[in-house]
Amino acid sequence: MNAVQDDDAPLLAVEGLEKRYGRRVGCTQVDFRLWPGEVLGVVGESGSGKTTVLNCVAGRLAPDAGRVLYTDRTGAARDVHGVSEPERRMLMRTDWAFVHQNARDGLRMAVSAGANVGEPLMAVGARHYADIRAAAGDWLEKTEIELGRIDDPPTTFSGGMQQRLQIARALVAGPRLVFMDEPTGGLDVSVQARLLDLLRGLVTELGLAAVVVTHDLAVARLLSHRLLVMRQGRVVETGLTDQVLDDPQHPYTQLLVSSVLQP
Amino acid sequence: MTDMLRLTGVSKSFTLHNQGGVRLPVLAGAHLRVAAGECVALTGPSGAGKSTLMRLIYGNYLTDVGSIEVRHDGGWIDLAGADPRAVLAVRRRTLGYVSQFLRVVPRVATRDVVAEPRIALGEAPADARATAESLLARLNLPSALWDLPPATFSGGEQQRVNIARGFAHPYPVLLLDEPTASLDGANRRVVLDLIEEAKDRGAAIVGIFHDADARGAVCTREYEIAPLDRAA
Repeated sequence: MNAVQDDDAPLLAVEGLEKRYGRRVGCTQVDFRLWPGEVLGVVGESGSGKTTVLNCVAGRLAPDAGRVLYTDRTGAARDVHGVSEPERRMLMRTDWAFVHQNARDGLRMAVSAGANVGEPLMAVGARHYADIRAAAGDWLEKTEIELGRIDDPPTTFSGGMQQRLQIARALVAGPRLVFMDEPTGGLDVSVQARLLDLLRGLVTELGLAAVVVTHDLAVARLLSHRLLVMRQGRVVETGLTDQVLDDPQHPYTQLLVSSVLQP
Repeated sequence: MTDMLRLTGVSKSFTLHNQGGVRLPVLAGAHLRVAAGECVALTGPSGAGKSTLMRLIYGNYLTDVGSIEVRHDGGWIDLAGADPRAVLAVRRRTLGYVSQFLRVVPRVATRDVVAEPRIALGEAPADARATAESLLARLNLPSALWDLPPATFSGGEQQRVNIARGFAHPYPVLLLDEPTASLDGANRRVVLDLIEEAKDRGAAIVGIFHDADARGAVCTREYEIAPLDRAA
């Protein structure tokens, strides 16, 4: 009787994902789906397995069991860990983006800001210098970096600017799916707010789907539609973001929510 | 009149796992039907579960027992146990909620906070912002504030931003939690007018109004929630 139909294909289907580090469980029995335009938050404390899940789903780490299916632009389901390495790399260049906690992991520190943003375009075939430079300038503007800094290397940027530059580099080639690992971690609170606002705006404007790992429940509330709560490598609770945070069901989620300091 | 909202046997308790598994029943067997054009006031003493019922309807609290059906896109959908994506779709188009507190992204301008529900539905940002501005003007929020984020506004100003946001899209079902609290007489009048207009266009409204005059002015009916015996 539910009037809302659910027959559109998910962008991502994660089934029975497991990763072990020797005898230690990184993550196990992780299942979830992600639809176009949807932001999924993965929360939990350090060591809960959330980054392991992110890396496995993003194709950066091979799982020991389970699979990750990605529906590509043609509508075909691709087994992310079943396809060949070059195919996976191509997907990562054309369809996906990854935003690291540490901007230096996502940037090339020795080249200019403009080159950092232009490179992903060249990697997918852009050749015309003026177009690439114009697109780079466009993205610097979108991420609130002064155009005058286009020829400066990111080493001369503040932490918040570096993170915004990383986002510009991640999004310039028009990905459909973005993975973010603690995107606001390590930034001052005022800088965090600006970045959150920027991310939220871009995700909505571009209709991106995203998986965002964060230990910060306030960040999760502002960015994500749905939440996955992880503990000791397992998903202990899932649901609508405000429902999980306002009416947590699992003892661990209740502890997590009640442990947050209210300013 | 057409029913827009149907609550059947709705019960809710909270289990506090980290406090020895204490179970707090807050609501038992709530039945309520609200038709288009009606405004139902939830009444009952503080702590009886009025806000809890609102949150159950909006879906930020999970319903233990019973159903919460909303008429959405021409059909009925039971929000109790609905998929999160379905709940979000209902919230986008059908179910609005003016809570007592404004929760927004720190840097977003007031005008955009109010325009957001319309932009999310696909309206051109410029048009959505124009609607936002006319609502803010109607609620006497000085235009000098429109470019600023509402975080630093006074309680009454934030409340008006919240109301403008809640009325920006003509939701067929609307939840109002103390919409006239912390407002002066003139602005209270504007809010009551907005509620009347919503009723006239066929919205089904459920509200909590401690202000008895406001309740008397706009509510067509009261629904009393009796407190449960907590010792049970």
